[in-house]
Amino acid sequence: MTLPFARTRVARGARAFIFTLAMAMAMAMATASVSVHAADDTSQDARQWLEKMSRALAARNYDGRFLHVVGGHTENMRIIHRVDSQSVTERLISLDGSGRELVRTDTEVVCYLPDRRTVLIERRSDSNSLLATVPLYSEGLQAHYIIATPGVTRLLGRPVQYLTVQPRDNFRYGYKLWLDVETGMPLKSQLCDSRGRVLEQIVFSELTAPSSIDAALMKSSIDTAGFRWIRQEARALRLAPNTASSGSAAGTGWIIVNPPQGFKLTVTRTQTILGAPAPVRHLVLSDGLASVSVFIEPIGPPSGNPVLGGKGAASVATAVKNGELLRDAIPEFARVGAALAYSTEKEAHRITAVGEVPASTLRAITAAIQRDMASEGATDATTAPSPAGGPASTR
Amino acid sequence: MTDAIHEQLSAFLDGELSAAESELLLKRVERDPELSARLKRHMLIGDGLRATQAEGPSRGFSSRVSEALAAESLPGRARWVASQWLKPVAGGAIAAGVAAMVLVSLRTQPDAAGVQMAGVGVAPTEVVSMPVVSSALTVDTRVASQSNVPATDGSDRFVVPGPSSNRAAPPIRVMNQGQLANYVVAHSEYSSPLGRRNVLTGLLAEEVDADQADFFLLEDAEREALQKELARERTNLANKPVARQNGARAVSGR
Repeated sequence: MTLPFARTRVARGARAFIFTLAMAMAMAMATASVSVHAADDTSQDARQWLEKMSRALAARNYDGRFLHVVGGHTENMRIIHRVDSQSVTERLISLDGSGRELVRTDTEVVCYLPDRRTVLIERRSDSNSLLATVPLYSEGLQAHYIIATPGVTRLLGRPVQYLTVQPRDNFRYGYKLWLDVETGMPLKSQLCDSRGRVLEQIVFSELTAPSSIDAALMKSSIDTAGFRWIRQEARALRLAPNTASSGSAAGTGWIIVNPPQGFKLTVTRTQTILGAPAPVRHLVLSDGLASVSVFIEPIGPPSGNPVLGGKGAASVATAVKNGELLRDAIPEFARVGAALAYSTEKEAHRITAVGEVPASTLRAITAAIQRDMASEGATDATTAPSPAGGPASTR
Repeated sequence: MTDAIHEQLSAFLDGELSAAESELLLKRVERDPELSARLKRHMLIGDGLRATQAEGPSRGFSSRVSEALAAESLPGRARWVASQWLKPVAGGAIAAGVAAMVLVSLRTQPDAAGVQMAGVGVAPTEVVSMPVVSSALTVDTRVASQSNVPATDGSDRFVVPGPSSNRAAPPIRVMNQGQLANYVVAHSEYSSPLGRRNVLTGLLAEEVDADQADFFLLEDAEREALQKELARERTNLANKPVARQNGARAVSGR
C-alpha cells in the first residue's frame, strides 16, 4: 500500500499539499473502485473473504475480548464461542457497564439482565442452527453494495485483510472489516453509514482460538436468585413456502408495497410473545446483508396493551411506570446498539420494525406494510415465500 | 459552467458519485483548469464552515474515543467515499488526545498489541489532512442522488419510495432500549452474522442518554427534530417542576 507514505507526508503538516493530496487520494479511490467494477475477480475474492469470515464466526472455537464503541459509549466485552460435534454455544459478556450476559445456543437465547433483575429466554422451535445460518454472499449483493478488498494491513500483530462493504445508497449501512488473513476472523469491524462515517465498532484487544473450550465456561456466572424469569415462548411457525406470492406476505393479511430498493421478504413467521393478546406476525426483509424484522400485532385492550415493548421482557416495570405515555399513536424510535426500532400504529395494529439499518429505511418499510384487502379476514396462517431462494438471490 | 457539472462536483465531494462517474469527472478536472479551480473552491468553502460545525452539539468523551478509533490505521486508498473528508479538524485534534487515553485503557489488557496502539496514535494526523465539506452541500446532493435511484428492482412490488425529506419530520419519541429486548432478540436470529453480533452486543451495552446516543444514529432531519424536542422537554422541566412526570417521559423513558 502506498498509504504510509501519504500519511507521513501529511504528518509534516504541509497544509498546501491538502488539495493535491485530496485529489491524489480521490484518484486512487476512483481507480480502486473502478477496478472493482472492471474485474469481477476482485469482487468475487471479496465475497469469498466474507464467506470465510462467516464460516470462522460460526464454526470455530474462539475466546476474545473486545471494545464495543457505539454512539459515544465504549464498553469492554468478552465473547466465547464453542463448537463441538453436537452443538454450538456462544456466550457474550459485558465486562463493565451493565454486567449483562447472553448465552445463545441452537435452541434458545438467554439474556441475563442483572441491572433489571431479569432473565429473558427466547426459545426457538424452528431449527435454526447457528451453523446453518451461514449466508452465501451472492453476486446479487453487488446490486446494493460495492465490496472490495483494498489491501492487507496489520492488527494485533497479525496480517489482516482490509475489506469494505460500501452501500450504494443510503437505505443501508456498510461495513469496514479487518479480517485475520489466516483464520478469517474479524479482528475489527465498523458499521458505517453510506458516507463511510462510523456508527459502531467492535475492536478486539485479544483473541484466541483454542482447539477446545471447557463447557463450564459457557455457563453464566450471574447469580439469578430473586430474578424474574421471562420465557418468551417463541413458537415460531414456519410453514411451507408459497411460491405463488412472490414477495408479498400473502396469507398474513398484510402485503408489502414499495419497500426500499432491494429489500425482499425472506421469512414470515408467527411468534407468541408473553403478554401479547394474539400471536405476533414476524416478517423479515433482507437485501442479502442487512435485515429488518417487522412485528405486527393487534392493539389489544388497555391491560397488556402491546405498545412498543410493553409486554414481557425487561419492559414490564417500565411500561407500568410510563404506561399512560406509551399509548399515543406517535411514531417512536428506540435504539439498541446499532439496531434501531421504529414503531407506529396502522389499522388497529402496532407495527414495529427493528433492524441494523438507517432510520429512514425503517420508516419506509413500516410505511410499506399495508393491510391486504384481498385476504381480509384471513387466518393467522403464515407462509414463507422466499422469492427466488431468499436474501442471497437477485437478478 | 453548467449546473450539472456543479452538482456533479458536489456529489463527488460527498462521495455520492459512482466510481465510473468519479473517474470521468476527475478526467475532466484534469483537463479543465476552471473546473479544477471550482473543485478547490468547494473544498475551501467546506474549510470555512468548519468552525460552524465545531460549534454543533458538544460530543462526549466517548464519542471522541470512537472517532479516534475510527480514524485508526485505514489503508488509505480504501477510504471508500470522498466524504470521509468531512471529519472536522477540531475533532481530529481532540481525538489525538483521547487516543492516548484509549491506549492506556487497552494496556490494562494482557497482550493488547502495541501495533494497534501505534495505529491509534498515528491516525488523527490523517484526519487533520482531510478537507472539510459543508453540510449544506451534503444535504442537497443526497436528495438529488436519492431521486436518481432506479425505480424498480426487478419486481414491480419493490420500488423505491420517494425522498422522505419532503415530509415534515414526525414527532419522535425515544424509547428505552430495555423495552425492546424481546423484539431485538427475535430479530437477531434473522440478521447476518455481522449484523447479529452488532445487535446482540448492543443489547448488552449499557444504556446511555438518549440525548447523546440516539442522536448519533438518526438522519439529519430527525436529529434536528429530536434536538428540538429534547430542548422543549428541558424547558418544560425547568419551567414546570410540577409537571415533571409528563416532561420526563420522552427523554429517558425510565
